[in-house]
Formats: sequence, C-alpha cells, structure tokens
Amino acid sequence: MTMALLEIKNLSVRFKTDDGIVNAVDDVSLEVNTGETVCLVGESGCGKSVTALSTMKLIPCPPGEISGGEILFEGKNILKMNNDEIRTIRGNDIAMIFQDPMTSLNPVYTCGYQIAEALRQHKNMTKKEAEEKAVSLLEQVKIPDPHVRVTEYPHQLSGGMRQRVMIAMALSCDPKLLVADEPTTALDVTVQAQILELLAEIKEQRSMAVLFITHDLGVVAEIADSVVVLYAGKIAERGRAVDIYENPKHPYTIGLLNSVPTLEKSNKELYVIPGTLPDPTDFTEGCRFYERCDRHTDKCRTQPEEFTISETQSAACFHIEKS
Amino acid sequence: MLLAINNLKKYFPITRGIFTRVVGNVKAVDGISFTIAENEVLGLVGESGCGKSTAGKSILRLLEPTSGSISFQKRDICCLNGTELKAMRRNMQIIFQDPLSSLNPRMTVGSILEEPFTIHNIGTKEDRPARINKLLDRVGLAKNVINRYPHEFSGGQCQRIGIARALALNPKLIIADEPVSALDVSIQAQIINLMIELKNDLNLSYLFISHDLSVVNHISDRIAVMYLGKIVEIGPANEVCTKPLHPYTKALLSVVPTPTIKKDHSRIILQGDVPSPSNPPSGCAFHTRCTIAKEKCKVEEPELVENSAGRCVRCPYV
Repeated sequence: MTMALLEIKNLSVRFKTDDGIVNAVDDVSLEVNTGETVCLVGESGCGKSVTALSTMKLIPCPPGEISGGEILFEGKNILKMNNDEIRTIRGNDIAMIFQDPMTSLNPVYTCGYQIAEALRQHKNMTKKEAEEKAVSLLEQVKIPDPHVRVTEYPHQLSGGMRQRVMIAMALSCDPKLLVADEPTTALDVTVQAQILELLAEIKEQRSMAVLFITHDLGVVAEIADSVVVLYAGKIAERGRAVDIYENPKHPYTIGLLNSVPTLEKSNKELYVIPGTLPDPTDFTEGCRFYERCDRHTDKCRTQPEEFTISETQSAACFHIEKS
Repeated sequence: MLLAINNLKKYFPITRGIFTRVVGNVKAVDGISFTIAENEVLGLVGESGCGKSTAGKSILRLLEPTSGSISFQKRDICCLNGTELKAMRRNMQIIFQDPLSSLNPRMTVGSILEEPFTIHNIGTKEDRPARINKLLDRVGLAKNVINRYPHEFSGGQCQRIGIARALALNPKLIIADEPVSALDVSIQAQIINLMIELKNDLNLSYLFISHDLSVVNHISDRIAVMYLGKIVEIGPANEVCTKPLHPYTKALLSVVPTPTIKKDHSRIILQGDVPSPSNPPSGCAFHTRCTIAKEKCKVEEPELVENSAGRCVRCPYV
C-alpha cells in the first residue's frame, strides 16, 4: 500500500489563555492521499483550522503548544523540522489558501509581486521570469486581462478575483498538497460555484491532494472524497462522503445533517441539537458530546474510541445504531 | 396589507473635488415594489451588493429613501417626522446580522432590553423588570442574564438578546437583516425555529433578508430575488425555488450547495462578477451574465411583469 501523502497522527494542540488551557485539538489522526480531497468539517471552535495550520507549523507557540503527535508529510515529521527545513516546504510542497482574501493578501504589494514572491523564493527565478509565470498563473485561474491584473492591488479586485489570486499564489510552485481553510465562506454563492469548479479542475489536472476545511455541509457534499467530522477537538466520525451523507452514525453528525435547511421545502421544524459546545478549558471526562446527546448512558463517561463501521467508516460512539 | 413599498429608490451620491460636486450615483436600490401582509414572511434574497440590506434600512428610514413610497397600515411613513415617526417605529423593528456588534458593549442585557421602554415611555420603573423577564422567557434566555454584558455570551445568545429587544415594543413587522448568517449551523437552526414560533405566537410579519436561499425558503411564504438594486422575480417561496423563471434565479438555485450526494448535477455557473451598482449595464442589468441574453436586452430594460400564472418576473423571454 502506498504511503499517504499527509499523515496526521494523534495530534494534540493546546493554547494557554487567561481563562485556562484550551485543548483545541485532542488526539486527532487523519490521512490525505495523493489526488484525494479530504474535508475537515465542524462548527466554530471544533479545532479544524488549528489542525490545518499545524500541517505547516503555523501555530504561534506561545501561546500555542503542540502537546503531542506527529505530522508526516511524505514520511517526514513536520513538527520536528527546524525553521529552514519547514520554509522549503511552505508555499512549495504544501500551499495554503485562507478564508478572507482581503486580509490574507498584502494590501501594499501588487498581485503580481505576491504571486512572484513564492517563485523567487523556491524556484530561484529572476524577477522577469517570475512575473511572466505570474501572468500565466492568472490565466490558469481564469482571471480576465491577466497582464493588467498583475499590476493591480488587492483592493482593486472583487472578492472572487482576490480568491483566484490567492489560488494562483498557492499553485505557483506546483504543490503536492493544498490546504484550503474555508476558501469560499466569504464569497457569494455564484462566485463560490466558480471557485469550487476551478479547484476541481486544477486538482484533476495536477493530481493534487486537497485538505479542505469548512463548516458548510453543502460544499462538502459537492467536493469531498472523504470527510472527517470534528467536535470539540476530537474526531466524531469519518468516512467516504457517501458514507457520511447516506449513512451517518455519530449522533452529532446525524444532528448536524438534520439541522441544515434545504431547498426541498418542508414544514417540519428544523432539528435542533440541544445545548451548546462545552467549555474548552474544562472538558469533563468521557464523550464531549454527552450533554447534548439523546443516546448517552453511564458508559459514555469514558471516552469512546473510534469504532469501525465498515472498511471506510468509523465513529467515536458507544451507541452506534445498526443500519 | 401591512406594508406596501412602491418604486423605492435609494441612491448614494458619488462626489468629487473640493466642492464635492455629484458626479454619479451608487444606485443601491433602484425602484423596488412589494407588499407584506399580516403574519406573512417575505424573503428578500440576493448576493452581496444587490441592495437588500439597504432596502431593509430604507424601509425603516434608518437610511432616508431617495424616492418612492412606503405605507404601513395604509399610512405613508415617508412624510412622517419627529414624534409621529417615533411612534410609528414601535410597529417596525430590526434584527441585525452581527449579533455582537449590534448590542452596546457597555450596557448590561437588562439595560439593553429596558431601553425601548424608556425611550417610548412604556410602563414604569417598577413594572419594567417583569416586562424584561417576559421577553427573556420568550426567547429562551435565563433571567440571570440581565446583569451581564454582551461579550459574555455566544453569537446565538446575543442574537436572542437582539430578538428580545426587537420584540419589546410589540411590533407588527420585523426586518431581519441576515439574522442567522453569522451563526453556526446548529445555532442557526435554533434561531430559525424560534423566529417561526414567534411569528405564529405573536402574529408577526418578517422581511427576511438573506443570501442563503435554503434558509429563506424554509422560513418564507413568498420570496423576492434582487439583482443590482432591482427585483427580478417574486412569487410564492415554494414555486420560486422549485420552478424559477428568471435566468438569474435559475443560476442561483442551481449552485446552492445542498447536503446530499447528487448523482447528476446540472449547474449554471455564471461568468464574471456582479457589475458595480455605480455603473450598471445598459438595458437589462443581468444581460452581461445571462445565458439567454438577446440583442434587445442590451438596450431595453424589462419591466417586472405578472404572467398568466400569477408569477412576477423581470424578463420577457421566460
């Protein structure tokens, strides 16, 4: 069996805050294979962005701290790399795109300069070579008039175009893995459709692996090969997209899918998962979903492991119903 | 009819030079008309910059309309001023998109909820606590929140406070401006259910403004679709969502992500971006992105017309 491109093994990340230690990510393991799109799904505070940032060692430490685990990229542990080593990977083998392009693009540099930056850093191109490649990249991401856009500043472009510039930057050094942290959340739905179509094409052409972070279950259904559902820093369920949507097993996943309004008009009340997220500085023993779960029993006072449902699906729950 | 809007416009002038002469206008709302009946929810849907939030604020005269008429219970509210306008505002309230920034961070929840009563001289200092408790109860908040500050609460709880504030004066109409967009999926469901319950219990009407078609479809009786300051389609929610007429509505619906694994999926991906409202295209504003645009569309602006089936659409070719 070929080695996974990215293997996150038992990753734990915590933050020291004034209110106590926040265990943002707790013993999370997942894999991304070449050419695969893995969606990391969950609501605010579940630890998905922290997991994504950890893949490129972008967690500020302090106040953050990687308290356990490994992140293997092509077999090498990223967490053990020094600054020089990780810099050769960032923007090169692993690239990242963020949610809000306006705040993640530098407002005082032209788009062309920012795209060329990675090329000059990693591919030793001259200024001229890098600028030409920048124009070609803007063409690939379907920005009209790329020769003009390359001289413009982020504020002169619309949200959709800025996101395409970010994608061009991310693709510039032909990364093997693209980490996309909520890349379409801030975009209108018609622009989101354009960006998702673009990402699908690029992924296809380059056999690129994608780790896609989002809270939008609709987007996940459209693009995911595999899905990992996070709750309060731990994995609740994982599986192929079809497993999760057609046969969800964890009560949280089921609750989440039932609480999303859809276009099929129904007069039924939306299902509501009762209660709220537990306090991340003070998790109680056992399953973190206990208080909000309609299946909980005393057994759930110990942390459930991920139980295998099928070859492709597993869920961390003692009370998985048989289908 | 509770609310009737006729040809409402809101233009923002673009000025240049030291004498600030007006060189153009951002036509944020460019002639919209609709009605809302008692106990009805009208969903106003569209993407960023289409003018839906501006429309909502103009109706309440939080922004002064440029032209057009707004009647509430058959009374023209555009000409009201001073004490009359203040009295009218008791009937129409607003809930905002960002729950935290719409609450004064320096006021306790109790003070925030008492404010409407104080401004409108309702009740006495003695009976206001009881009124406030009743509001908290309505929105599912515990009574002990009154001495706490907004920053101590989650987004969902802040939105409940915002809703409680909007209910304080027993309004008939609430303008809900993207009330659940900033909330997580599971909290969104709680707030949507709460708003539906309140609508039924208190005989409320809503103008529900959102970019999220799935949410709008769930809560609305009718839906109006806006593009670049104009309504392009309006009709019963179920019909607009299952049998859309306008090409823009069709495109919008085809790309709404739904949480199901689809076997076949025909998506209409629009090319390009939404044009700027300060320089809208000639003729039909949608012609630059429309899949069925004809030569005539570049020149002639279509009217919003009711067809034989009772559906209103701004396109002669559907």
